[in-house]
Amino acid sequence: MQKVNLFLSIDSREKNNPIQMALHQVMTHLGCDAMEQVVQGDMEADIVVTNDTATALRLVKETEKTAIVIMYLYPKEREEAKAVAERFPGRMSTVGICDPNDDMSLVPFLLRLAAQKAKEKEVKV
Amino acid sequence: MKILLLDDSPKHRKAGVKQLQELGHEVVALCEYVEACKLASEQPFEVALLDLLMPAEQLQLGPDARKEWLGREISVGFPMVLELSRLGIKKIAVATDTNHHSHPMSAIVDWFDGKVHSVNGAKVMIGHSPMQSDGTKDWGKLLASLLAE
Repeated sequence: MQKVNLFLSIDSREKNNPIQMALHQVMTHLGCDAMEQVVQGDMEADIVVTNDTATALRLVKETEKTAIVIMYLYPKEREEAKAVAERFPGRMSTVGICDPNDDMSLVPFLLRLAAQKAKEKEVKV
Repeated sequence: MKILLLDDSPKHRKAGVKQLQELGHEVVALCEYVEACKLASEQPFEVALLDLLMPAEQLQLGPDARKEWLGREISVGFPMVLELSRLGIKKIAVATDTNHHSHPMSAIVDWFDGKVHSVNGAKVMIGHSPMQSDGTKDWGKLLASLLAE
C-alpha cells in the first residue's frame, strides 16, 4: 500500500489549533504521512485539508494534482465552500466536520479519499 | 532582466521559470494577482509576463460576492496591465492559452493579437500564447516578441 501525503492548513483562533492537532493524530495513525509544506522539492501533497476558501484557492494554483478538501464547522460556511469547490471539479471537495446534510463526516471522507489516492499511486508504480 | 511571471497554472509557471532562467533572466513566478501587484510596488521589474484569465481572489469581496465570484475565472490580465504599467514596468505581455471558441474574453483577444500597444508609457502586447510541444506556454518566444522591434 502506497503512503499518502497529507498537508493540513487549518486556521484556528485557539493557539494550539486543536482541530489540526486531532486531524494530524488521526490521519498519521491511520497511515498518512504529514507534510510540513504543500510542495516539498518535486513532491506535492496528495491531499490538503483546509478550512479557508482563500487558502484552498491559493493551494489549487500552487499544485497540479493535489486533492484539496475544504472542511467546514458551521452550516453558514457550507455554501461558500461548496461554491468555490464546484469551480474546480476533480480537484476540490467539501465536507462538514459533522454536518448532518453530508453523506459522511470528515474522517471517513478523508479515509476514502486517502484510499483512492493510494490506489492511484499504486497504479503509477 | 528581472521578470515577473504571473499565471495560475503550475505547469505554465514551471515551464516559464525553466525557460526564462535558461535564457539568463531572473524570474519571480507567482500565482496570485494581488501578491503580484504588491511585489511590483515593492521592487522593480523590467518585464511582466501575465496570464489573461485567472481565478478571482477575495480582495474586498463580501460574503455574498465570495460565494458568487471566489475562484471564478476573470479577465485579470487587462487591469494588471494598467496597474503594472502604472507601477513602472516598461514591457508587459498578456498571453492566454484559452481557445477563442471557449471564452468570450479570449475571443476579444483576437482584436489585439500580434499588435503592440502603449499603456502608461509601457510597451504592451496582448494575445494568444505561443505554445511548446508539451502543452505549456512558450514564454521564451513571448518574451522575444515583446523585446523585438
